[in-house]
Amino acid sequence: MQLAQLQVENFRLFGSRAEQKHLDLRIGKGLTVLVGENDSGKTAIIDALRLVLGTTSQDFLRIGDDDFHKANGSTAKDFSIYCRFENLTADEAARFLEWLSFEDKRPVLELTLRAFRVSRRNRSGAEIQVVEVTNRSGPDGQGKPLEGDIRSFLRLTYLKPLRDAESEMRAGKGSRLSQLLMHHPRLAGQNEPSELPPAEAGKPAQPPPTLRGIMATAETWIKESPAVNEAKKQLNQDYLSHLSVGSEKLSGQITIGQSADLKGILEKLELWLAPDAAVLDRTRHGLGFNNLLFMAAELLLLSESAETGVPLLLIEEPEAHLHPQLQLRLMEFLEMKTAGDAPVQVIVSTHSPNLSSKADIQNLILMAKGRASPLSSNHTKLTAGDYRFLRRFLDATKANLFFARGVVLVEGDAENLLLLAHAKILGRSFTQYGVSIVNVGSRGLFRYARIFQRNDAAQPPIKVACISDRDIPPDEAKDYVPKTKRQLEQNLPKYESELQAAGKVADHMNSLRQYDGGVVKTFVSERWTFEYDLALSGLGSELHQAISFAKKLKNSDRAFSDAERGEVFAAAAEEYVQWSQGLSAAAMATRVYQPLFEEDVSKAVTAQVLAELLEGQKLTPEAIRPKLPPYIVAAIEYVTEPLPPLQPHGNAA
Amino acid sequence: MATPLEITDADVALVAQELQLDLADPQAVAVLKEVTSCDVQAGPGSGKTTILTAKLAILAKKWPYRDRGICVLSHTNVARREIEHKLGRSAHLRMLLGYPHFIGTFQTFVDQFLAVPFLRKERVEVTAVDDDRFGERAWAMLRKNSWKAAFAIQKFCGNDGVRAQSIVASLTLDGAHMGVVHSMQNASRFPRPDSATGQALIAVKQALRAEGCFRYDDMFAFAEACLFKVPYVAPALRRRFPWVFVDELQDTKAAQDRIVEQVFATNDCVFQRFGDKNQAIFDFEADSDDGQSLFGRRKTLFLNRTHRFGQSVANLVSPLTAVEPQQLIGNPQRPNCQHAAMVFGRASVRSVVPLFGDLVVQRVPAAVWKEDPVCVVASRVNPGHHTKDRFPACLGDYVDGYVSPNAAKPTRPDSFLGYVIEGRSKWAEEGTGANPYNSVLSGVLCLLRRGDAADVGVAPKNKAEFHQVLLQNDRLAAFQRLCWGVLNPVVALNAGAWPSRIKELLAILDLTKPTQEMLQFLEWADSAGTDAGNGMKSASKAQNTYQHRTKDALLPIRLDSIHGVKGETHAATLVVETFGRQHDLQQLLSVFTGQTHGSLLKDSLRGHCKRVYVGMTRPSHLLCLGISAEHINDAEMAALAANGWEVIRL
Repeated sequence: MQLAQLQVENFRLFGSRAEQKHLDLRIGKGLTVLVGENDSGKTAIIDALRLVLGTTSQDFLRIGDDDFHKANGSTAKDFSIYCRFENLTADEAARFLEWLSFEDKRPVLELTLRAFRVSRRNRSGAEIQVVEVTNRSGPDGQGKPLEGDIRSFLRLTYLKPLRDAESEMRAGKGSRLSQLLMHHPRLAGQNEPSELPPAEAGKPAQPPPTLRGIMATAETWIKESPAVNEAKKQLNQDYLSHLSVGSEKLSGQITIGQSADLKGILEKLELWLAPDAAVLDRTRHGLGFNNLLFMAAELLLLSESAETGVPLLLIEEPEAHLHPQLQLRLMEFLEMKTAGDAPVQVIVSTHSPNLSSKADIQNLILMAKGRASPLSSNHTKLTAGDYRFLRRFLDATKANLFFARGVVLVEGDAENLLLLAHAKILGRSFTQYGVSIVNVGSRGLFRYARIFQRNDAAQPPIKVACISDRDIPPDEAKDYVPKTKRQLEQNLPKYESELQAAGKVADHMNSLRQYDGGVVKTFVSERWTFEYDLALSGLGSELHQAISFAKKLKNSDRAFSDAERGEVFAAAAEEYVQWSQGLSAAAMATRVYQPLFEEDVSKAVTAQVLAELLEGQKLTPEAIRPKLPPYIVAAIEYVTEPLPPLQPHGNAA
Repeated sequence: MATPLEITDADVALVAQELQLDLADPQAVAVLKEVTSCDVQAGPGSGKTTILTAKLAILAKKWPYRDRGICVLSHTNVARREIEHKLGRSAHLRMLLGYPHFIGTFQTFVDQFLAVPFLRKERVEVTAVDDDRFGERAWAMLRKNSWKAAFAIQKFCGNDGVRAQSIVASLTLDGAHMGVVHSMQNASRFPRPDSATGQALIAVKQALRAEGCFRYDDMFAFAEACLFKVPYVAPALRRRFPWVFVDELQDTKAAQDRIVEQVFATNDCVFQRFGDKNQAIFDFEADSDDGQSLFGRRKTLFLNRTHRFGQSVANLVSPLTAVEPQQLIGNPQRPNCQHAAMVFGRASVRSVVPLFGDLVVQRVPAAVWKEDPVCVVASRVNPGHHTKDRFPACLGDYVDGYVSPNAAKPTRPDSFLGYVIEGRSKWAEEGTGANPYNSVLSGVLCLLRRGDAADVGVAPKNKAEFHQVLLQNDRLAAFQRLCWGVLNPVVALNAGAWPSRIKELLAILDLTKPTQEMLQFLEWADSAGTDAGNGMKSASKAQNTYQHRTKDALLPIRLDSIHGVKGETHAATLVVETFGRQHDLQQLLSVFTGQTHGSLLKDSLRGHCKRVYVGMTRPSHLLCLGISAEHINDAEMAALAANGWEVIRL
């Protein structure tokens, strides 16, 4: 039996169907990973499932006033949660028979929970809010109500975040471990009484065949052990007999506390971690290991026993207490246990880029502001090749993009570092706006972008900006940007004027933007490359200073003091002013950019120096804005919010 | 077999001890221990319900599944309640009353597992499953849409409006193909399905089907359609219910039988049917299907020992076991009375019942007839169309003032007060509130259907929907308070408080402008007989009692149809001759005289034989027959006497 669909209406941040603000989510078999920032709806999905199905640990989830969706200043009067199970086995179809919906080819199980908020007067006449809940099966929730024993077959297994696994696995009345073991098929029949088998000559003594028999035997031995017996005798003879009144004699018995039935026995057991099979001394382990142990035990039960509930495991934030490598192991393990035809379904919610980078991207559901966008194939524009590519190259750093409200995809370190600095100075700090900047290196910019491009209507409320270079060298750069052999042989246009003359610039720009669509927008440098355009638009001096210092750093392995750095900057600024005599802006920018093009200095180092330099200048947003290439400003506005309109020049002055 | 359950002598002994049963009968033990599919042929008074309950008790203890159950199918709610009552005594057995088991009527079973889910799948909104409501709607619709057809049917029925309505009311969907049939289907060729009248009837049925208004029996057609169209249902049912019991198998109708046989008669299930095939009788008037073809397909175990009567009755009735020949073993604790065959003429027919009364007083201890009823029973109780020149035709020929129970058939209340009174009487009968509450709910739905759509908006289609509306408007608690107000058995209903109740109800329903029809429906009426609530049925029983006076005793003698006394135990029973195609006792004389056996009779006589067998197996003490002198000669009388009857000529 597999959870195939979940619809949630007017519950917490999910709104009404009429306004298309509801959740309608298809869920695949196996593993599902909900990723997204805080308050994006991950926990609401988990809780919706907990409400409609109940949990094996019987933790009680109360429906409160704040579970009803609030919009436009009013609170919804009711909410509904619908879930649909498909692929029922013959046993499951028989078990849920009177609750099934008959569909042509196969039975499905549909459950609808509805909660109504009604106000009522209490005894003292004050108005109070009460929640009425119905939980019914069938199409449109018109079928038989879910009540009584059947609910125990529907419970899901829920592991809450930051759980204390150690105490969950501890012995005690009603312990989770005893529940787990009680339902394990291998323990069937262990509750039957059994006797100590007669000793056979030449063979070591055998224990009774069932746990109950073993316990009963132990109990007899303990009761009859000389130590206990002596103590008991003394108690009875020296104390109790003196307290007896009349002919009735008081006497005491010493036995084992709990009744020796299977439940009692299992409640005495606890699970702990022995990292090495040979080590039997018990040592205390960290929360992380205990958590793994706990999850392993729960999964064991889910895959072995059908009678304890639906084979559905919800894990909230499994990354809690786990270091990154263990997180990766855990994700691998979950994928293995849910792969192929395994009946177990696992839904994980996570904030961990680590976990989400390890998961098959097909299994991810991107959550943002109450919108769920599954990333499985045919939901997105990702191709089979993209999935393979991303599986290989999407690492923990890049997985940041799953948790962002805005994403900037860049192809180099310079953009990565400097965009952050620019945005901050513009008052559009990426951290404040929840924007992730992801450096995809030299490949696959649009493969990442396609994660956010959809075939269905579940458009995520995320803006994705791709930063790209126009890559047409200006005529001024002919000196140090020669044509390639092929370009020479075929006389292909390369420089600005040639391409303009050939009328190919528009085509070129279109091809750079060919993958735009949905929330993805490409921002292309106005001229050549990111740094060139920076130099051209007004940061020429600053870039030259940064390059000069970067050269210094490259040729020396010692640290420089602030004063020394200041000297380098000042000298470079001076040099820039001298160069600018009689040179056009384009020629200046070409000259400043040359060392970067020729890889005399590291782009990354230069960018880092420039970022620090700009931050040190304490520029206002208004001051830096005219100095930045317009496409950079536009990209920043796109993923954050628009800047105020520029004051017209010269007017006020 | 799917279930490797084994029932041992120890299990049987334990359950006998717990339920305080006397299980000396080896046949009973064999039935308890049987773990494969079989039919249990249980003679009259053999205590089969007790044995079935004991068997359920044994199974309950050994039941290994949490999600697979035992299914017990009965025909009436009375039978279901009897089993539930017996099971409910011990906590251990109570678990059979809930999931995953099913104990209930065929109707409930079919509704719950097949018909209703199927209708949901087909997106048919059910507004009513109710023979009476269907009947009203169908007749009204036929008169409105095709008055010619209504006229033709009325003419066919000799201008008997009630009978004409009953034909229209009987329009039923039949089988998986959903053909439309009616009560005259087999009895006459009218109306032909392809005639204008036939077409009009079919159109009415289809229109009401679209409206979601159905008869109870329609549900069986949907169930069959479900089995046909939803192929995975039958395997799921088999897996869910590895053990299935049918109680009173003789009452199984053809459609019911088709369904359970199709679903459960496979090697996956243990399918055991309890009942008495020799008592398989159906409604006399529509005796088209005597169910014979249904039986005798699997191993049969017998319960020959009867607790009801002694060996003398056992010997007289055993030759009438027409379907499954069975020699009953009498209860040795019953005294053996001298049983009598009364032979009467046209002049002396009115003396038959008084003489029977005298015989009872003489031969049966007063303590017995004060405890158990004394009855006169007959196959036919009302004169029919074809019985005019026949004598004796019906029970009415034997006594004055026999009131046909048809005329007194309980009908649906025609006022809200009527529904409330129905609810109150259910409360008195059952002692719990669920059904009484449902009665009031039905009354409210009935009320809402009387409004104009414009005033009430859309009337809720069924009780669940109405509940939902109340819940959404937060009026459920108020409504429940109102229901308790009118149902509270401690407080009598009275005319004074009624208007305020109605005002309350209208407020809850938001009915600011009720229609005239609605107001009429809500009115108080003294004639509704505020606490004559025990229903018309018992009233009619009281009416049909003949008070027999002797010097020192007053003996009430009940008059009833054989159909009406199924399952009863009497102190004494008189079966009198009546006419249905033939005179029943006349045709069976050769069996009474011991010349032949019921099982050797022509097929056309089996119906008579089974019906008379049901009548003759009621008495614990005295059995009498009333035979017309025109149908018996001296030789036959001598043969009767030789076979143990005392022949009394009147």
